[in-house]
Order: sequence, then structure tokens, then C-alpha cells
Amino acid sequence: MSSREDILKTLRQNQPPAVALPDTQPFAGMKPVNADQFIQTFKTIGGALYEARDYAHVEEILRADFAAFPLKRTTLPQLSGIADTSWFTVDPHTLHDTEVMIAEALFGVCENGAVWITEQQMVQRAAMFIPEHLVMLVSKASLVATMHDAYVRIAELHNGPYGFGAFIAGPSKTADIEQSLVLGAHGPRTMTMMLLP
Amino acid sequence: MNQPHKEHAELAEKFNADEDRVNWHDETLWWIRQKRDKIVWQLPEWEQLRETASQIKHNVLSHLSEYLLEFEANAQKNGVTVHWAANGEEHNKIVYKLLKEQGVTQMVKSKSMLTEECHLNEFLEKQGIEVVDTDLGERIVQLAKEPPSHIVLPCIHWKKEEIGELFHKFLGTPEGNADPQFLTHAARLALRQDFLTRKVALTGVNFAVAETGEFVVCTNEGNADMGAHLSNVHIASMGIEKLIPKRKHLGVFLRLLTRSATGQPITTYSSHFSKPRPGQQMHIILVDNGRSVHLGKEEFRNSLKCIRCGACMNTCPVYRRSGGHSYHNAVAGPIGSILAPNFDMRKNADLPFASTLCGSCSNVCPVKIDIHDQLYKWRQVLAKEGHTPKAKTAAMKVMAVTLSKPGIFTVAGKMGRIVMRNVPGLVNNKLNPWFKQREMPEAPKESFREWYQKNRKK
Repeated sequence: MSSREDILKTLRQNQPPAVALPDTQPFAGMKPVNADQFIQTFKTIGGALYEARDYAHVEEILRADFAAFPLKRTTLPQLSGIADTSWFTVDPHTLHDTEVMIAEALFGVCENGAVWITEQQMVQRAAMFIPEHLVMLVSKASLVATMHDAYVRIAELHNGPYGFGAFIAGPSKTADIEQSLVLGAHGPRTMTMMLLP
Repeated sequence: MNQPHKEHAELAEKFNADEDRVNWHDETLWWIRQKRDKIVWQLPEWEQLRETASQIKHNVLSHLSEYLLEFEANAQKNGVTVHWAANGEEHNKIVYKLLKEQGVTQMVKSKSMLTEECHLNEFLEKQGIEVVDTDLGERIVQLAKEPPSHIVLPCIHWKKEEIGELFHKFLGTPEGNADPQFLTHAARLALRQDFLTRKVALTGVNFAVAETGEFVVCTNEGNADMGAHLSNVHIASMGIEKLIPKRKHLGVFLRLLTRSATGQPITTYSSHFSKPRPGQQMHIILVDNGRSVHLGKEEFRNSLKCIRCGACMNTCPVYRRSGGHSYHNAVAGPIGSILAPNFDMRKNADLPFASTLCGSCSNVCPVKIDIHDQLYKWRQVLAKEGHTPKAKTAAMKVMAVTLSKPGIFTVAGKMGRIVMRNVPGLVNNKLNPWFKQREMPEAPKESFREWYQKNRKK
């Protein structure tokens, strides 16, 4: 007998009597959307945040604040004036010299400062993890209150499987050495949120 | 692996030799427990969340075979290859086969307690495969040729000066530099080369969703993503109990996991892997390794609800003062002590006794595992099966006789008091385990019974 059959057989013998699933519906919509909470939480987890009027304003901020990093790449054609958009089909390993990556998330979560983005908006999966600095655009109107609301939104946004999706909450970090927090472990060393209307 | 090992108390004594280190270890873990409390108290619905998570996990355990089949079918639909491994050995062979197919001798790995449980690194090393652990804490203990001492904080028992020395030896950092920022950056630069050159990446799995066939990996460092997205082959190893029924249940578990583990609202990355990227292979290995048998033990099956947050370790007064290595098991602390005897009762018979039964572990557990009750129940089973030390068994028998016979009890009490008052050296010596690290109390002149008999007449 294969291990698969073996395991399933033992499980069927040993499974306890059926227990019903609890209702998780009451958790959704339990709390109001609070943009200030999103802003504060994102800063607490090590992120920087700007409230930007539009793409032109984002470009203006990038020119001022990220002038020291010439190698910018973006997933957004609207920002091709300031960042490279010719990398969409290259070998992802070649993206390792990216200094700044600029992308746009689908929505943000107020309770933890995370944003949800899928492969479609990432263009390449590695692009969100490999740059030195990550700049993420997200609309204030897209915010949800909690992770329960987040999965309601995900169900609305995606009909089928999304290939790959991630909640990203701030710069990569570690506290493995004596619990001292260090920003910049293996992913981006900084994350800047551009909060659009 | 199968060599005889020292018992918890003896290993704890070794850890306790360095008092400053023990105090640091104790205070640091307690600080993490306090961070957990602070963030938990911000959610008035916390208890409701724990109860819901617990019920979801009960549902999972009662339908595990069905959910596994549903998950397998959906993962296959997504283009993922699903493997089944009855034990650690079979798991390791599957990984090795996949590496051989690629013709590679190197692999990057992100944190996976399951691969520690299966002793994957040792197995692959023997086959000539170089495994690089990419979580910073795991890399540190790997360079030091040690197992992790904590499931979330693998090198919590290391001081920064020692890590500085280790990195000086292996990564060529300047001697004497023990700055966490500097050392982390050195590791980042070194490991980046590994991420860019390895063709195969192995990750663990935090949650797998039956409904969609996707799995979720949570890290703060981004190492699982760096490995997976730059690899030609992504292998994800998971214990079969990691399943959850529906994607919306991630809302419950992701809110609980990191708040319980480190006091953060969420990990930096919660990555949902559903399909391989074009041109990539994705494999999932479903590992049993004793879990299906464990499920049949009614009193102990609850421990299969564990989501590996480590909160029970951070709060445990014994773990904090004895260190993870004293548990001689991939998962240490209270949860490790109730999981380990399922694998090997004889080898791990000491672990359920490494507890004060204070119950703090059960109070912080995000999925409401009755950890301290199970520790107590394991003691009953172990005593019945003859796995308790002979001296303790004999002492217990003497105690039982004394306590059940009032005459013997009265005489024994009187003798005890006389000895303690007149020849304290007889009890205050190394042979008496109660004298270790404490002073014996002053013996009263008379027992309560004697006092009562005297005073009743008045």
C-alpha cells in the first residue's frame, strides 16, 4: 500500500466524531475602517508614509526623496517617467541590483498596516522582495478594518486562484540577535507607503 | 539522533551553570510575553477569536482525511505536485530525489520545524548536499552546528558577542564587532549570494487551505520569498495537521499567530502560494510522521491543533530558566513536552515532568490546547507504563504507605522534626534534591496534631 493510502486509512480510523465549523461571519464588519489607525500602525512597524494627491505627486516625492537611488523600477506605466518599466520579462535574478521598486497594492488593512498585492500587480514575484527599497501605492478608499474584512475583499476581487499573493507589512526585519530589532533582513530595507485618496 | 541523551533536569543544570545568561534568557522571553499581552489586550474579541480558532481546529481534526484529499485535488489543479510521506525518512528521500532530478548539490531552506523533526539537514549532508538555512537565527545555530533552541527565536540562547565571533570565523566580519545591525547586514550580503545561485528552495508551511489548494508561509525576514521566487523548484514541507478548511479562516489564524508569537500585529510577509510561477516546479510534501496515530489518542489529540507560535515557551517558568536544548526535541517547551512522547515515549519520558503545571501555557495558547492538563495526563500514562525513574517510584510508594497509615505518619513526622532540629546535616546535604538551591525550612517544635490535642482541653 502506498504511504498516501496508509496515512488516509489510519486517519479515517482515528478521526474523532465530526465537529461542526464555527461561524466566522460575526468577525467581518465588526470594526469601522480607520485610516489614522492604518497610518499609525504602518509607522509603528517600521514603515514611512506619505499622503499623496495623485501619481504626479508620487513622482514629485520620489524625485525629492529617492534622488540618491538612480536604479528605480516600477510596475506602473504611469511612473515610467521616473522609473524603468522594461524589466517585466527578464530573468528575476537580474533584478537584484534594483535600488527602488514602486508598485501598487490592491488594498490595505487598518489593524496591522499590511497591504495585499497579487502576482498580477507584482509583474514578477521576486520584484517585491529583492529591491533595497520598496515603495507601495495604495488608495485610502481601499482600506479595510481587519483581516476578516480583508478575506471578504479578497473573495470579491479574485474569482479563481491568484497564482501568488501576499500581505506585506513594512520593511523586512529580524530580531534574531539578542532581540535587537534590525530593519532590512533579506527583503527591502525600507518600505514607503504612498497613500492615495 | 538515536543515541541515548541526558534528561531534562541534567541538561537544565548545565544551562543553569551560567547564572547571568539564565537571567538574561528568562527576562528576554518574559519581555516577549509582555509584548504579546500588550497587543492582545487591544482586541476585546481576543477570547472569541481563540475559541473560534480552537473550534476550527477541532473540525479539521475530525475531517482530516477529507480535507487532505480536497487540498490535494485543488493543489494539483493549480499545477502543484503533491507527495505523501509516512515518516521523516520518506520525506527526506523525496527531497533528495527532487534535488537529484535537478542535478544540484545545494539548496536554500527557510524555517521549518518539520524538517528539524525529520532531521533533513543531517540526511542531506550525508548524501553530499549542502543546505543553507536562511532565517538569520537558524543560520547562526547552523554555523554553530546546533539545533534551534526555540521554534520562533532559534538562537535566543546566544549572546551577540558570541555571534560576532561566529561571524568573524565564518563570514569574515571584523573581530570584536558585536553590533546586531552590522552582523545582520553581513549575513544579508552573504545569504543574498546563496539566494541568487541556488536552484532549489525548501520552505515550511504555516497554513494550507483545503478549499483552494494554496499554502501560506509567514516570515519577517523575507527569506522564504527570496528563496522560493528565485528558484526553479520550490519544495514546501508540511505536517498534515497544518490544514485549515477555508481561505476566510486565515483571517482568524493570521490575527492570532504573530500577536501570540512576538507581539506584532502581523508578520512582514504573509505569502500565499497557489500556483508555481511560469517555468517553475512547485512540490508539496504532506508528512505524517506519527500524526495519524497520535490523532487516535483521545486525551492527547488536542496537541495537534498547535500553530507553532511559541507563546507557551515564552511564558513557561521552566522553559525560560532551562533553555530550549534541555528538551532534547525539535519542539521544546510545554508544547514540545506533550508532542514528543507521542513519537517516542521512552526517550521523552522526562519531558512531561519538566513543568510546574502552573497552567500559564494553556492560558496563552491561541488555539486553546489544554497543555498543562496533557502534561499531567502524560505523567499518569508514563508512570503506569513504568517510564518513571526507579528512585522516584520507590519514594512515591513509601509516601503512599506513610500517608495512608495515621500511626506511621505521626511517628515519621516526629522523627523528621527531631532530625531536622538536631542533626540538620542529615537533610541539608547534596543527597537531598530538595536542598538544591534552597534552604530547608526550620522544623516546628510540634505538629498541628500535637498542638491541637494540647489546646483542645483548655
